[in-house]
Amino acid sequence: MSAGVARPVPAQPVPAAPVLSVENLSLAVGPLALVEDVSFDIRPGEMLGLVGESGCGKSVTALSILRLLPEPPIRIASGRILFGERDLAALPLDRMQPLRGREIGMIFQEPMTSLNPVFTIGRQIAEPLRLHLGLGRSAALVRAAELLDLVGLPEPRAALDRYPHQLSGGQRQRAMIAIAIACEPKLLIADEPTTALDVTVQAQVLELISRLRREMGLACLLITHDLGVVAQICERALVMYAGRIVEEAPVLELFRQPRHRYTRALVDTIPARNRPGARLPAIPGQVPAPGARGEGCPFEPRCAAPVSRCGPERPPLAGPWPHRAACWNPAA
Amino acid sequence: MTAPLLKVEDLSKSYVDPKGRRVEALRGVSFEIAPGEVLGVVGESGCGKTTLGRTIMRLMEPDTGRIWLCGEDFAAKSGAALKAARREVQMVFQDPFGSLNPRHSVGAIIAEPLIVHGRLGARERVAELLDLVGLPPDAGARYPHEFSGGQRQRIAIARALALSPKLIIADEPVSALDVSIQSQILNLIADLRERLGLAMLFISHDLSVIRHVSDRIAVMKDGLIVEIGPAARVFEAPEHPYARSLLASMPRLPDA
Ligand SMILES: Nc1ncnc2c1ncn2[C@@H]1O[C@H](COP(=O)(O)OP(=O)(O)O)[C@@H](O)[C@H]1O
Ligand SMILES: Nc1ncnc2c1ncn2[C@@H]1O[C@H](COP(=O)(O)OP(=O)(O)O)[C@@H](O)[C@H]1O
Ligand SMILES: [Mg+2]
Ligand SMILES: [Mg+2]
Repeated sequence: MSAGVARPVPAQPVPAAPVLSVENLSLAVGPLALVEDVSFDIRPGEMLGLVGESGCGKSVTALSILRLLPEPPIRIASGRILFGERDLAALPLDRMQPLRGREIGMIFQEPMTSLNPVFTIGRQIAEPLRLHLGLGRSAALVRAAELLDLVGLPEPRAALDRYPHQLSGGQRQRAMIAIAIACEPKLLIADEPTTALDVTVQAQVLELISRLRREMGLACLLITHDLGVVAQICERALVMYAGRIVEEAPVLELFRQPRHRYTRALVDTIPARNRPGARLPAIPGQVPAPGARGEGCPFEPRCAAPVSRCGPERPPLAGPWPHRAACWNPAA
Repeated sequence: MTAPLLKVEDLSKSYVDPKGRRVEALRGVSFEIAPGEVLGVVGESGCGKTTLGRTIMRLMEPDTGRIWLCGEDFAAKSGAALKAARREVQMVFQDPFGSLNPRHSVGAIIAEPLIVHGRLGARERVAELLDLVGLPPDAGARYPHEFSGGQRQRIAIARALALSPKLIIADEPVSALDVSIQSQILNLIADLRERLGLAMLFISHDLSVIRHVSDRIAVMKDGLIVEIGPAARVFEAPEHPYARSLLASMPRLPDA
């Protein structure tokens, strides 16, 4: 930064150290890059959204933080994942195990794939409490019931004895959240936590996650393809396209003054932002697959306002924090 | 008022689940669709939307109720009369892949209804349909797996349009698609309505999509239509408490 630039932000508190700093992360399968040069921070108590259409690399990014990628075939090609003092990208897998569920909680889209069908809900919540916090059997079950109550499951004591298939979709998602927060992690990674749910249940689950963040100071990476969900509960968001972060901004700015042409197009095409029945400003073409992302800006073939350097030259993520975009011809 | 294209009266349908319990999926549903009109059906999972669509298509028989199509009793038809009436109603599903035979070329898939109904000139009609839904002319010689989700939905729409139906029943046609592809398909549907004067029963759990495409909206809950009316009225001033709470749970986007 040049010497003459004074930042007129005395009123803002000094930001707390990030809970998580992802630095220049790249993920690959053989010679194929899935995710390239991804960097972001999450601060304590912050809800950071990660949005993008399917196949852009959201889930592999989330899984890499947890080191739950299938390694091989996928590998962390470069970059660091700083969680406190530790670089998770370089941690031996056996040292990762104690962090998962203890310091980093996780919620996935389909609870049935993450809940174990043969164990009761009570046992699945109690297990991390015993393993990580050393609680005895009965103390762990009492705490498990408290957690089920906290996430709004009706009759929490009875729910302890239920198996996952005996709960509704929304109830299973709540049970998974209870497991994720049982050990009061510092960071929650939520990958499409409400995508399989009906809107009324989605609204309740989002409200629950926001409340836990307020009450427990939980930092959360919320991954979704739904801009509406981000607008609802995140203050800052990353937009991912074809394996890269193309824009990072406070959520209101993302909607009001998106800079990247992709973000602009995405916001403009949402039916709710258009007059009912009107022709939607559609985005032609489709998201390129890994390996077909080109040399320059991966959005160039679909872009409404490309300039000559977009094809050959990859735009860097630029602009003063907190609003940065990787676009040669920004919309704002 | 014009005579309704589709009139459904007191439709009921129940299933017996694997434990032998009765599930009442439709509990007396009545509504009409005028020619060229889009009726959006919205509601949460399990409320009976798919059962409604499939019963009207006569993919399954209702327990009670009547279905009038173009003024004729569709539910009572059988044999040749049913086959003839079937041309007027076609269906598009959520999962275009599941509904397209992977071993048939796209051309054969689109031509199938033409052949079943003994139409001549299938080849020319297929070319016309590909063009109508925005697919390249060579798409006919290729296979479904070579296409993306959005393009597969175009193929399914082309097949549904082959016999020039008056009514399309679309069950979550854009729900599996990404936002940018969803808009392309919604625009295609709008174009087709304009060009062909199609009427639709458009089923979706997505409130903003329903608001966008519908002339009128029916809100379903537990096998019943709890509210039905002009789209703007239902959205802006829902009367039924359930419709109100459903609409209130929609994520709000910041203003432009
Ligand atoms: N195990 C794997 N092997 C090879 N490619 C993979 C694997 N998992 C994911 N991918 C690819 O990585 C890209 C990003 O996938 P993903 O992170 O699941 O996207 P998103 O969650 O944004 O929809 C996709 O092109 C996907 O096909
Ligand atoms: N083949 C079936 N056997 C038993 N129950 C069914 C069957 N199909 C649907 N149901 C039940 O009927 C109700 C309505 O289902 P459906 O019409 O698929 O609703 P929607 O499309 O609104 O999600 C649900 O309770 C569902 O579980
Ligand atoms: Mg994903
Ligand atoms: Mg359905």
